Amino acid sequence: MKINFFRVILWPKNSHRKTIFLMKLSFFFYITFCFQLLAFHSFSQDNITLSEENSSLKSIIHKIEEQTSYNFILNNDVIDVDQIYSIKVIEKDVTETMALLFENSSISYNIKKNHIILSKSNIQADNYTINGTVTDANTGETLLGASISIKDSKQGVFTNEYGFYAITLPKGTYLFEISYLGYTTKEVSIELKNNIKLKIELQPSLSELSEIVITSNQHAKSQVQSILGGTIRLTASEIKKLPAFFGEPDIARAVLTQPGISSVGEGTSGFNARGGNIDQNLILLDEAPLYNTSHLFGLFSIFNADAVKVVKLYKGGIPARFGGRASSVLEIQQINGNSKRFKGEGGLGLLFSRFTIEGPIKKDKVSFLASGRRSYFDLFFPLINDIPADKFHFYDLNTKLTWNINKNNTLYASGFFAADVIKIDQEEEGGEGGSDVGIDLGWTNATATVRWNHIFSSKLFANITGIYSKYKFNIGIREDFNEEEDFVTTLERSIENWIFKPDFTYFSSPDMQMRFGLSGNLYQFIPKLRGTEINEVYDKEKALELGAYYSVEKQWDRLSLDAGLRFSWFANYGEDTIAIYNPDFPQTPSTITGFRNVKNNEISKSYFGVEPRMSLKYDFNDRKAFKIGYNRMFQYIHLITSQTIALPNDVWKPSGQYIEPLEVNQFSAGYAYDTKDKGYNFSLEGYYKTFDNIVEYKNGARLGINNNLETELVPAKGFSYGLELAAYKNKGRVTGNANYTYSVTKRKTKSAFSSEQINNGAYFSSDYDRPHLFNLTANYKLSKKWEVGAFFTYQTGRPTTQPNGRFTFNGESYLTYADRNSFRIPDTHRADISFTYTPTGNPKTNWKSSWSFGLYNVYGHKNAFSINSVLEDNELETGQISLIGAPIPFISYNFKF
Amino acid sequence: MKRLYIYITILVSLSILTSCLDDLTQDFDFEFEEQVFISGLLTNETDFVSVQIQKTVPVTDTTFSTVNDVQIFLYSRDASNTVLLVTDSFTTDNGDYMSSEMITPITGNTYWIEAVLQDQTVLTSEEEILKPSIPIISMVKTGDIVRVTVTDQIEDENFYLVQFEVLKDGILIDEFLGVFNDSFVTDNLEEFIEIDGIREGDTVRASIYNINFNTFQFYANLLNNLDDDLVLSSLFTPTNIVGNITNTTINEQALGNFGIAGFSSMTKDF
Repeated sequence: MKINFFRVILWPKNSHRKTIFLMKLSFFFYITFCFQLLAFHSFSQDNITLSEENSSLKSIIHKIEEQTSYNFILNNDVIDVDQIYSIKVIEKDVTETMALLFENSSISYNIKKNHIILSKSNIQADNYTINGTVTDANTGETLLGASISIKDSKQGVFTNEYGFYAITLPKGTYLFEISYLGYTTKEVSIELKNNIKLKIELQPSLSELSEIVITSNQHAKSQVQSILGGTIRLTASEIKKLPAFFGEPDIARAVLTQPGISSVGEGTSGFNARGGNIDQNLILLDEAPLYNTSHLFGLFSIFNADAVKVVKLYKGGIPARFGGRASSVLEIQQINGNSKRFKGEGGLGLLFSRFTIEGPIKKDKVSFLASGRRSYFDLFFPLINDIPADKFHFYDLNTKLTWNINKNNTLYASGFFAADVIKIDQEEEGGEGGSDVGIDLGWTNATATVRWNHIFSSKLFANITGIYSKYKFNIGIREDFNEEEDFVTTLERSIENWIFKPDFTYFSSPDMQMRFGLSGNLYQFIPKLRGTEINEVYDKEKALELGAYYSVEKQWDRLSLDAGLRFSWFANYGEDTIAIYNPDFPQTPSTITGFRNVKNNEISKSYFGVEPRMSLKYDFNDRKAFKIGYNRMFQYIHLITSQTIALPNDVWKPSGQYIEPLEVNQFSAGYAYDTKDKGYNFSLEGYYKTFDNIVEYKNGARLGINNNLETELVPAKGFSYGLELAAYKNKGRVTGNANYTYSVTKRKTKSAFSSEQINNGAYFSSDYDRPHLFNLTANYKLSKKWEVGAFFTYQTGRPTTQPNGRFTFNGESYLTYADRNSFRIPDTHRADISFTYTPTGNPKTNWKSSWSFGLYNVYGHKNAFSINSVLEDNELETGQISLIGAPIPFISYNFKF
Repeated sequence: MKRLYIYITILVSLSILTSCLDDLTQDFDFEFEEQVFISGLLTNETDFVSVQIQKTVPVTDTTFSTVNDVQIFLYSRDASNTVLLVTDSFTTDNGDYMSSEMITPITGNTYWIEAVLQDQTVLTSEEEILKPSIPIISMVKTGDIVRVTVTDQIEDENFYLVQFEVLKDGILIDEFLGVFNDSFVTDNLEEFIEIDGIREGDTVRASIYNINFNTFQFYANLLNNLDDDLVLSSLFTPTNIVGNITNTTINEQALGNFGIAGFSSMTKDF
């Protein structure tokens, strides 16, 4: 607001008549002062005519100033000139107009001379809260992360992960703008004079195929608004636009297209976030933790994109409500199910198909979702003689029930079941007497989640969750010798979780919200060995992890803070027999000096951790922001794997007497920039992470069940640092993103004994240390019917260990090796392309379909997974293994009704 | 367990039908770092002590590089903690160091060697206790399987190096070497090991060494490195053949092992 205080005084040109002039001047001032004294009454007679509906205070002030000789005086920091007011007056004087305008307002006014001074009323203004949910108008699906802001103002909130929002404001009339990616922005005028519950429905901006919506949104990929650095949000529609392996939209591969995310090699399970091991990612599906996220050893993700609403990856700032894993959180929310009408969706692919059905059981009250996939490429195996697989397929099923009990209560029950079924029956080659071998390599992953959303008051929202999760795998061997009875041995491992999490959000003001809660997680790790001659449970382990957290999100004018603190406690419970080792020697089976027996439910070892989380953002303006952050995370369970890639049968081990919790500290700083029309978003972020108590296998460690697994392990520490650059284009026919990451990840064992050290205790590159990583994703809307998607990636080759000599022992030759991971395999790169054809559907039916086809690894580049050497018949053989060494065409038919 | 990984690898390859293995044997020129490898196994039997010492050669070199200028000391420590130099008198033949006189090791004592190289680098084996031998009770053939039954010492976790030699008319036709520990069946007084493929007329010689953990680890490393499958080996980080030898000059682990073992053997004609 521009306030004019100046008066022009004309200086007389004839200064020689000074005395006369001074007299005249005195008279002039006298007259002027008199007029000023009179002015209050005379000018107050200025009349005003206004007809404003939902106009900002700024524009109303401007019109009053235009119609009268009054000027307004106010402090912008105290008076919000963007507030919405409505007034209709005809030929009213200022006093009446002011009284009318600021009736029921927290603003008081004082008219002095020709000035109207506005100030905040001394009487405490009444604050009221508007809360509710934001949903899709067609499906009733809650929209997570939708923006609810006061138009032309910085004030606003986002819906939380349950679609809930609350905003508390002084009494008044406000014009809210509600926006969400892929939906038409909506404006809602609210006269706030008491607490209001408001369910807001947004209309999808295109209704052809809701998952193929291509639209731009000013907040599409902007990192400017989020206080937390290093967060990535992906919707199912974005994931489906990526060219996919065998045409199957894959969430895990979509995550790998993001900056700072790498893997050991393509087609492997899991991902590495900013130098963390794959077990350092907390992967939650409707809040239930998952331990194996891949079918068929990493080829396909277990997440069915049709059942997924949104995926959020936290790799920088991690909110205090998350705990238990040290490097990232991948939060996946399933859709709730259409509460308006029945809807089906599916796809037929070359190797597997999927089908989803959702709909209301009671309209707008109870809805359901059921979504399943099943592979069938094993049906073709009989055509290929060399494949010994008897059973070889996977399936998964996502289910959900949502019950909107009333305005204050919603109940969700969701379930997930995934399995690989792999059975091989093979005659032993060269085996005399017809002996044969059968192998069972199946696993199952099941979760059940019950969530209760309750609104305690207009400002207090609660989500109370109970979760059961079980992951189980088998390795079974059946050996048949000489028509004797089969010899069967099955190793079974399972991990069970019982979780209870009450979580509360308090929306104290539009600028501040607090989140606090508790979490409890009871683990059971059960290894079993059973078979023809044995049936034993080995070292069943129980552990309890408790957490309490508090976080606050506060915004000032330009500064925003998200600070939190988590306190975690972990205990490993008996019954157990813990080996005691001679402290003067490395822990080996031969240095055991005794055992400590721990009774059932007695704590064998406990740990606690204080985990501060802090993110600070400074807005240069609404398009530029600078962020810094610090996180400390503790992880109490560890994935013990001796291979370079993770396999379903890898061992999860809780912290205990000899395995300490992993501690990771991360510092990050970043800058986010949006272009003026927000059509392009850019971000740059650097980080430095330290790792302590990483669990590494010793050189030559033994595999299999081991009651003293610590004898095979050595603790390590490490660090990683990197710089991530990302650019997004959100508008136009071509949309997409490009990102580049430079990163370094090192490890170092920290045993007190030189015999246990890897590389003699020097730092070495981790298996997934790939310094240069570049990804490019593009989508081009050719026409209403045709769309092209393309993806290109370039990555530095992963570290490897090479031979550096040979010797002979007992007549056999053996290789010796240089330091671990001191060489690299060649850099990898790959391009994928996909075409989507969406024919014009019959407007009389709801049936919509599309064809998707393309090529994975377009130019058939043989990306090395490994280069290694063996001695065969005393001759050195070196080979490069490429998991996907040829172009892979795909075609799929997708439909919905 | 190892077989499982072979299957896993096969399955991974088969499932995508697009994986490939390219031979790069001619394309690579590996760096070479010369190292010394020491090996030997001292048993409870009265015998000459033998230590083999060689240098590593480049990966494409198929020759054998012996070291013949090393000074070797064999030490012992008894129950009263007295250290005794057992012998430092060895004759050398093509990298094979043989003690000048026969030695009778004592069960319960510890033994180790020190090898001083020409450049004064000292390589030392870890002190290992001489464990009692594990008596072989019987060898019984059923079909083509021979079961060897031994008496276990249930109070300890034992580590075994097992060697089967199959002879036909006095000629070695097959050999099997394996390492086991008894952590799975510690409650049984008798344990058995089986070997199949034995025909009528074969002679089987079973040898069981009751070894220490580091020697067990050394042989486990050796056996793991015998795998000649490129695909399987790509899944694991390769391991150097280290055991209980330390380069005490720079306090780093070195290649090789000098093991101490209680020994028993049985030979039977079938």
